[in-house]
Amino acid sequence: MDSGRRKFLTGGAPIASLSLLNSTATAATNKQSGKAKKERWGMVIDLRKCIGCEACTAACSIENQVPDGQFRTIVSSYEVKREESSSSAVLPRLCNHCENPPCIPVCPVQATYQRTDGIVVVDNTRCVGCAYCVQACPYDARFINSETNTADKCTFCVHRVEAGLLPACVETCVGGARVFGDLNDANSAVTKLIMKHKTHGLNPEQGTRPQVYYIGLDGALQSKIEGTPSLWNRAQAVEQEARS
Amino acid sequence: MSSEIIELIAIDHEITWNSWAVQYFFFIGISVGGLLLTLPAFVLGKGHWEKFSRIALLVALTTGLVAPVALLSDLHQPARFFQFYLHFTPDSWMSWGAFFLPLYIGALTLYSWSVFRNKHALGQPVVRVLGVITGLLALLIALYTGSEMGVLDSRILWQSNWLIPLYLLTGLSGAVGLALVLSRIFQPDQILLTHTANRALSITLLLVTLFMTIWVSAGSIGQSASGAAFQNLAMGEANFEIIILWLLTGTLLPLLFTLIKFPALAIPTGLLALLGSWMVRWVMFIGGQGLPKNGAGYYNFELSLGSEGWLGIAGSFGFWLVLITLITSLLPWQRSSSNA
Repeated sequence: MDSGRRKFLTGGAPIASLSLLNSTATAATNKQSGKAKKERWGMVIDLRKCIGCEACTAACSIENQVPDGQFRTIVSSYEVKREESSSSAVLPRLCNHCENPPCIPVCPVQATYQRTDGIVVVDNTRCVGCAYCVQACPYDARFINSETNTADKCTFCVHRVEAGLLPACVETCVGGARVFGDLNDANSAVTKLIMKHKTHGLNPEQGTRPQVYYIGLDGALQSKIEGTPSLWNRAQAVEQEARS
Repeated sequence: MSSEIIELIAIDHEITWNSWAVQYFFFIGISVGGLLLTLPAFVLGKGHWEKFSRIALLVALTTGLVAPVALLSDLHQPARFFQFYLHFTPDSWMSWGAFFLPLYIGALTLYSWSVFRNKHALGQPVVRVLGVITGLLALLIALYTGSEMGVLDSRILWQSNWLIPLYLLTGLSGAVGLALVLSRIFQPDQILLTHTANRALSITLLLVTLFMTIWVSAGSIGQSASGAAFQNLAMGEANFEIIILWLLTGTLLPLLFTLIKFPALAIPTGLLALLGSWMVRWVMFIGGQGLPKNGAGYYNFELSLGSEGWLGIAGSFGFWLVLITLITSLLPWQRSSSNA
């Protein structure tokens, strides 16, 4: 059982929840008063525990009412062949809530911004749907929501986090591979995992300083995949579904 | 250790800058090119350029007026355009563009009016001042359109300063091509005008060919990642035909025609140059977004029949036809001092 996830909810649940609510409230107060932030939310994904079941994909889509054929998170699956051996690999992908997010400076109306707790969000009442941020994100984590016609992306389920809950993908992760927490807290499960294990971020050459850390990431999957593409085509699938 | 990877589950990402973006970059590129071609006559006072510069100004004005419509159509929330002016963002080239564009269109309209209403426009201080201001704004448009894409490190084909000269040169060749077509339609008896346009087209197409050779060569020797990406794109199955088509029919064939100097070929030559100018933007936009940032292979783009596809492309060209018909019917644009 994933201690990080369970601790967030039950390991002294009342204390943790109160602490989170308190810290959220404190963060909000700090934001208003301009004081230094307290939390820095981040995620660790232990690929040794991920079974590629896509429960996170489904939970995210239901929680955030993402339109059909569009995803805030998805688990990419690969077959990796090396010499005589062959193995399967999985890679959950989502917004990396980067420390140096390239999506923010390009936004011409400042509709996308980073909260003091590190979460990158989109104000979809201001977004003009120019898709500049979609182009700028090196992780393909953004898209134009076909229902709202504005930029859309993972928010670490900020509405849940503010209520003292875990992001839906973390909550539902069968293997407990996704761990969410405060990177500024030395005692948080995410910080302990980062201290204990060798972790990697995606596309390090982009200099974005992603705040989603992977344990057990295959080096061949860290940046652009050079290989045989998937046969599944999003546009065709949506069209077929519409016809049926 | 070398590895071979097969994607089992992955999604192909939508192309979000589609045909409307291509149309915008095409029309604004032609407008900037056309505007620059007016400067020899109306800013530098070279009288023998006047007839050609008047046609070039017609090109700049009509395409310049279509461009913002295409740009608005490219937004998924066009009614929120006012947000650009409520939240200026100095870090964003698009934000700068939101200010450059109306200034350019406004200055272009004033400049055009000052030239077309006056048959003695050549050498007039007001015209000259307006020409300088519009010319500077045109250069800012060229700077921002190239930089807007060039700053995106996430797109290997775009992350380059090479886009600024690429769009500028192909905008110039397209503008000369359109000016050549219009000169044959409106002033078929002006052989000298055709020769001027023909010569200008030869030079601009030669520059485009030279530029492409240098860019791709720089990619080959590791001096330009985007040049290398363009080379790979051209070698790939998905874009091989359209890139070859662009290079042959949009650049080399009209270049050959301009060297033959056969008047009957003038209109096809101009149209081919115009097509080349459009195709380079199509390749850069659609081809550039087809190269996955993370995934393997290539994302194919199917142009829809609706307003985000063929209808949008046809509609924007139709709008341009309406504008050119109205402007040439209502304004005395051909009234140059040499006609007086």
